Amino acid sequence: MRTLPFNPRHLVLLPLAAVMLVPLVWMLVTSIETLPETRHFPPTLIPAGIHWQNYPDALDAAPFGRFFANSFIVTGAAVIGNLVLCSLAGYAFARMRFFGRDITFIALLATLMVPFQVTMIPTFLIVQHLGLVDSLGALIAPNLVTPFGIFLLRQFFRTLPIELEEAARIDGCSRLGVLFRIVLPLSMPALATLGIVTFLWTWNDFLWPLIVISSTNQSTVQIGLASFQGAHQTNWSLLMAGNVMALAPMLLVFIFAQRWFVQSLASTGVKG
Amino acid sequence: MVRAVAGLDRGQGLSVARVEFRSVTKVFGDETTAVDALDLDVPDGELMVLVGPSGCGKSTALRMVAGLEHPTAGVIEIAGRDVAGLSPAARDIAMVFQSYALYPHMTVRKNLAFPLQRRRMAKADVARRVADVAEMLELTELLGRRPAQLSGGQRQRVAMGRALIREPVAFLLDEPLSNLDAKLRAELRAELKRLHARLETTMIFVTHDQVEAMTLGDRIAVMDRGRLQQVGTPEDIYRRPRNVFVARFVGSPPMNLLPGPAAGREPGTVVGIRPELLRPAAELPGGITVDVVAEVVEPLGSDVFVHGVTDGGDAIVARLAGNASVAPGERLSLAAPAGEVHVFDEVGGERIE
Repeated sequence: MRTLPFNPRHLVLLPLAAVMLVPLVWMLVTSIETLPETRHFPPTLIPAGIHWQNYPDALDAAPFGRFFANSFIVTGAAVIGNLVLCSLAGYAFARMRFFGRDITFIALLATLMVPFQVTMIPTFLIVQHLGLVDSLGALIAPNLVTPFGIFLLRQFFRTLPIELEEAARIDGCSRLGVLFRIVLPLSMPALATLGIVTFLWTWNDFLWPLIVISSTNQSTVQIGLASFQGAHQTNWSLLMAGNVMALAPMLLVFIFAQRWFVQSLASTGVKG
Repeated sequence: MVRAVAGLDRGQGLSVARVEFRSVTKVFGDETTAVDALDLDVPDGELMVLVGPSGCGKSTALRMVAGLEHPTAGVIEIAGRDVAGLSPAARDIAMVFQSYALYPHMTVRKNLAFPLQRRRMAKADVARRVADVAEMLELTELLGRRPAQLSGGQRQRVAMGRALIREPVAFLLDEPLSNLDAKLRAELRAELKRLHARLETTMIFVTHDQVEAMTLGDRIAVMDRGRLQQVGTPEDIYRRPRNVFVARFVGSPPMNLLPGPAAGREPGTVVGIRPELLRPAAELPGGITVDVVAEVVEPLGSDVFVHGVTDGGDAIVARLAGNASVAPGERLSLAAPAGEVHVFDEVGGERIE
């Protein structure tokens, strides 16, 4: 067969990539348009000029510095919490023998099937009971550990050769030593995946902060952005400028962790 | 390949230990009895080989010494101390795994240093010991590499090094050579034997390969289906197998087994004849004779293996001198010295004489 100068799969992937990019590009374009341009129909795809002023205006419209700080605190705590706690729980489920392990694990998996809307009210009541309503604690506590994270890490840990752990125990490691010195260093792809996914979920979360937060100084970026959308009118250019800024950390995280992320997806199929 | 290095020879601080199994039984999940009432004594400094077909319980026995499995019943003692409550780390043993179990995220240097660092040895001492062991095993050039960048033989040596470096009281080796090709396996077998001769430390070596067992072991413990069949020196086991299983398992090609009457013995017995004992009947008047039709002839240069069938339909292998000329289909009369055949009970398989 004659070899093409490109991979034939790209014929499909390139248009798909373009489709994926359209909303992103539109958002970028809208963020530098003037308000009348955003309201024009058909949409203005190439604005008359670059209206950078939307960015400072968006930041001035609400205390975005505070919102970003809050979002970073909440997201950072959730990421660290998940990495640490899901590692511990995942390892216990993967390698330790204890009474009721499998039942507990199945119960844990079952909770993955329950949509958030179902547990939203009970969660609120618990958070209220803890006296955390309208504080960052209300955003952090329920997100510190997730069944998904435990499941993901447990599955990954089980793929590691058990001889490595046995060798480490003979070499003088405690159970925790085995986890931190052998298992976790070999699980970087899975940890990176969990870190990214937790970052995205927590950073983008809108519904839960909306329910549990009422004061402006406890709000996250996503709540702040919603303030641009009124019942009667929406300032699209400011909203999109804010969106671009809210998106930036996620893009950075992804670019930074992409190497691990791609590797983890690849390693699920191919035995290294 | 093994070079002298100060500090690693016997008598310079290296302690050894006796390992004892007392009626050790291991049952998995209430059903499978992996090890059945094992009694075995491995004295100070002995190289004991546990050998048997897969599933015979030899690895489980080893893992119980390491503390990776716990006996269902019975006692394991290392240096006279019951180790039941001791963690693997506290038993002061080292283990080499079939897969080597090198830590993939660490360099060779870190792999070697790991057991010492876990025991909080001073940095300078760790560095010195790593350098010594690396030199002894010719790993010095490879210290900066990761396990993935090593060949099979090199990985095996790193695994040995990681076990050696701690100067444990006993080494446990679980099929450490079986992932290597035949040539390298033979080389490393000899190297291991030299190493044991120099360290004079207790080693328990598990293998399914009877040639490995015969060539390496000071003594051999043959196991089958969880039970110890026989313990003895390679020569004992070869010359006086206690039952049919041991007789067939040890030796290559395996011992020929004929129903008693076919070899001039009473009914109800089984006669075992080693292939190398068979000679043309003309050369051995007064021997036990067997008439054979040759089917396959394998000239190996030094020997000729003749695979044939007796008149009674039993398969038989003879190892004849290299100059013997036998053609397939040829009818032969073979004989073995009467005093050197083995006789077993047909029912239990136990040795009669």
